[in-house]
Amino acid sequence: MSIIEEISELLQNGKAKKVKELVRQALEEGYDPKVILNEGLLSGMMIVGGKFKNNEVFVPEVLVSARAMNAGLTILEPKLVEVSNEPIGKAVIGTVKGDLHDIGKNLVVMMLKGAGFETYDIGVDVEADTFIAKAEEVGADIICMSALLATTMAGMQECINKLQESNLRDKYIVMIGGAPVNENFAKQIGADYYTPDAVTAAEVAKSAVQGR
Amino acid sequence: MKRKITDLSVRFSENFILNMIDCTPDSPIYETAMQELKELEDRAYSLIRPRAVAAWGEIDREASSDGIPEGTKALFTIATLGKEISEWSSCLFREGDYLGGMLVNAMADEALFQVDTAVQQAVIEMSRSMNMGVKQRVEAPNDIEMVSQRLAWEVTEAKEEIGVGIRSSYMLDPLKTNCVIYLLDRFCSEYRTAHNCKNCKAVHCKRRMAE
Repeated sequence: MSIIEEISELLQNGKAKKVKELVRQALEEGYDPKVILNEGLLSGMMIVGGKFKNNEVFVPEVLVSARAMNAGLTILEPKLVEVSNEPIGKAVIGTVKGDLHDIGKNLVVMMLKGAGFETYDIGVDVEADTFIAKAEEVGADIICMSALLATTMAGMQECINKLQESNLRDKYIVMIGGAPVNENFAKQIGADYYTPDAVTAAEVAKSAVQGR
Repeated sequence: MKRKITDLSVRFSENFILNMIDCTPDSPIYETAMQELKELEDRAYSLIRPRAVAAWGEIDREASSDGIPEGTKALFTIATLGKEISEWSSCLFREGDYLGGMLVNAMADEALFQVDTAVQQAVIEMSRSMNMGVKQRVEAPNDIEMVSQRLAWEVTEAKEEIGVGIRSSYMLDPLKTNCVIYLLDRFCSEYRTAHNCKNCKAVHCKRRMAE
């Protein structure tokens, strides 16, 4: 088994310290940081995501794998900057105005990172204008909005309306999620995608930016 | 009549907390998760500051509905753990300790359930002292309009009493806060204070006791 395959396997088993050590070792052995990222870390996370969708693993296993990936990234990121590695895409994500729930949003951030996205987590209780301003500032591809309350879902519509008013709607992929949200609501407000969980959100985000 | 409840304590059930995040004894990471949970517990206990307030009032026009008419006598309760525990969970997520963040969030949920149970006892005592029974427990948005949370917040003076704020969406702040309204009736001899899982839309809740 190559060191890259080993990184992927250890990540799938949630072995953060060992992933960190092997990423360091792989760099010392002269492996391209992009190969370590794509074929080691991200490939491992993709396998874990697939197992989650097939009910072979559950949320805790995904959490420890993502933590292992994060541990590896702390070593790898400075090297990725040196080789000007481009992320698969940039996503701005937050929970809409009036809503303080953040667990679902945090899980989506985790999975987007695991899919190779550069993420900008703008927190909870976020104004529609703030989503747009951040997306413009960082040159995002995707705006992801979360809401856990029926009384706050309107914040998603407001953001999309403001994108349209500013002639920016086509510039961004808009994804929404959260307990009261569904496919019909996404269509109704003109969002591009509704996803029911964090793993699906990352998959859909990846295919959406690749399909642009 | 109003009562502030501060003598609330919580005691984590480790197995239950792990179960809440789908980590069962047959999980390959069960031991790891259990060890981490034990390491997080002391700090979680120190950050959870449970307090609650209950006050007597009436359902107003805005919060009323077909089944809950304006003028219905009620005990409004708001209970909170404070903001520190949620902030810690968010911080762990930001640092990439996703398991830790999830465990702390589950600990907070477990604590809030326990506080809710303790508040029910106070509600029974208060309604008994008013010679009234509890005919129904209602929670927004499942059983009553979200605007009822604003009414509860005003009636209990939750800002002044326990430091709980409210957003324009009627969401209470901090995050780990819950609002329960107990509908009272002079002709009811029971205290129906328990949560009704059958009416609850949280179908994946690990505490659910209904099909």
